[in-house]
Amino acid sequence: MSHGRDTSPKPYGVVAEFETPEQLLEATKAARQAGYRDMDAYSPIPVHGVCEAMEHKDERLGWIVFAHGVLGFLVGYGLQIWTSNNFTLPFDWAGEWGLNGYAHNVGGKPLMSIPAFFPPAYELTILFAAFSAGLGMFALNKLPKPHHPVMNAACMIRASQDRFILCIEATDPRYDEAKVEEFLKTLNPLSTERVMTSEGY
Amino acid sequence: MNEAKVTSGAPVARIDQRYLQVGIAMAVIGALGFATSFAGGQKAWASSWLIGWTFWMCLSLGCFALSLLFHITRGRWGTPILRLFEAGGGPVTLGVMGLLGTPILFSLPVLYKWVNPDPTDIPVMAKVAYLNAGGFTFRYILFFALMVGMAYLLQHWTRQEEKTGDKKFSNYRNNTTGAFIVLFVLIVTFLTTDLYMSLDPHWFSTLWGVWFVVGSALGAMAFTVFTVAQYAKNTPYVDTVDELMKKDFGNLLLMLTMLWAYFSFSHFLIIWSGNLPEFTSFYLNRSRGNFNAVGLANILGQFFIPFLLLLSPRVKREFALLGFVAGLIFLVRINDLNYMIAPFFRETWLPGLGEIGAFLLAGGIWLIVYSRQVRTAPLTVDASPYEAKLKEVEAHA
Repeated sequence: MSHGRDTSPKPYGVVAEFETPEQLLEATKAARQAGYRDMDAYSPIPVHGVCEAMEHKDERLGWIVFAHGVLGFLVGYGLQIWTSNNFTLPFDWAGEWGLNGYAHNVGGKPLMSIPAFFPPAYELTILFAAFSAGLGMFALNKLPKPHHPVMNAACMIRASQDRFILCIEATDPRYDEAKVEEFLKTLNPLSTERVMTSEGY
Repeated sequence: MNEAKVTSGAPVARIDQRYLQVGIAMAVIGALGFATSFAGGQKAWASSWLIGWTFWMCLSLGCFALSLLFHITRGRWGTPILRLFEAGGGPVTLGVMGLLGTPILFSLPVLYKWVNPDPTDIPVMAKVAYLNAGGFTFRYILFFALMVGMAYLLQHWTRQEEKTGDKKFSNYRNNTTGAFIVLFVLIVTFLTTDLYMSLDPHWFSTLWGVWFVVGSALGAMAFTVFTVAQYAKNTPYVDTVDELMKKDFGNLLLMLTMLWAYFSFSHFLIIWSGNLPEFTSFYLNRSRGNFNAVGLANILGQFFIPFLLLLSPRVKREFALLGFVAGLIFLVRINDLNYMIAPFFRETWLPGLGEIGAFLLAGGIWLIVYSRQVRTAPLTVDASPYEAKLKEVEAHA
């Protein structure tokens, strides 16, 4: 499947396998201390503090969710204000398509019933925010990803069971395969392994 | 984690000294202001005292509510601030606030219309089987006795566990706190129905009690976070409050502001939609004499501003910002008192000198008791038993 791009296996990184979450946390801190920046941790359970230890400072998702929440709030109020009042669009077809407002007396309340409009607007705030959180997470993580090079490491088979794995990636500016492996060995791992990307990726 | 435990040698947080000084100053100034209300007769001073005392009594209720929350969740977040909750909502402070409310018990006829109801007023006559001076006094004493009892037991068990290391005291807390929370919410519901809702005996609301529970807990959390933020660079907080706990403080404040807004808005929306005269009187009385502006300040200061600020992770990381938000919420709680209670007595939004005096006097006494209570035990609880539990849960996850 060559498109002119070199798809031969290339170094992806070095992984170290640990037995406990505490060791993983300590190893992550040590790697950060040693100046490594591009790394990732793989663990069967959430380990508190690892994300902070890796200092992955990416706050884009929070802003995406906030913007969608505000958008949902405006859509919610806008939809209700438009449909509950006698607004009309200046096109003949707008009425045929049902796009004009449909003023209706509900319980003698004013047409512009701001308090009554709040619950649906609030629900749309939550809906938009929740969907953007879920979908935004997928998009920013570039998921779904059927293949990931780190899966080539033998120890990864237990990363979803009882092993805690730290990978220092080749994209790191200080990456030097031999030095990285030597460094990881000083952290008392069960094993270390140099990982290559798969042929064709 | 390990480096955080190293004692920094920073000066000790002297909450006791600072709050004692502030308390004495407030009590002296407040007593002078409150004295002016005596010229207006019993109704003037009793209503002023009811308004002023309410704020600090609710602060004690909130501290007690948060200590209950800590005992049932056993979260790490509570270990540096449990002592502050106990200082504000422990058995002694709750007892003192109960005693400080007794002038109200002796002023029932001038404060509450149901004491001598008009026999032709059928809705009120139908309530006198419950709303009468004897029942009111009995319930008041019973409720404060129950709260003091619960607070005493929880405080006693925590301190015994610390002294002896015996885990049975921990089990006592686990087994009782759930029931205590139910009892507490019932107590606050009936207490606030008696004390405040019955000021207008024709009006009623079933959300009233929990509205006070949440508002009080919000005020207490704001006061506690504000206090810790003042002394964030002093021992013991500099060594015990880590990043995660700071985040928890911010999130608890965020949760309580949202819950307060949710209750407040539901209360309004249900009454507005129903549009029935016996319910709408509450908001009609609060839309005259500039009370709308007071309500708007509440909406902005107790929801929108703190909500938007607390969404930001940066605010939850820095104690200076967190303390500012907490201080803002605490100040707006005072405004909330002016919105919730004061319109039962007056039609203008500005409080009188007597009311301000009563507020300062009650607050001064509260702070003096608080400052003495924080001295009765070390300021923080050892967090290790709570962390061990957390790791166990994680390992089995």
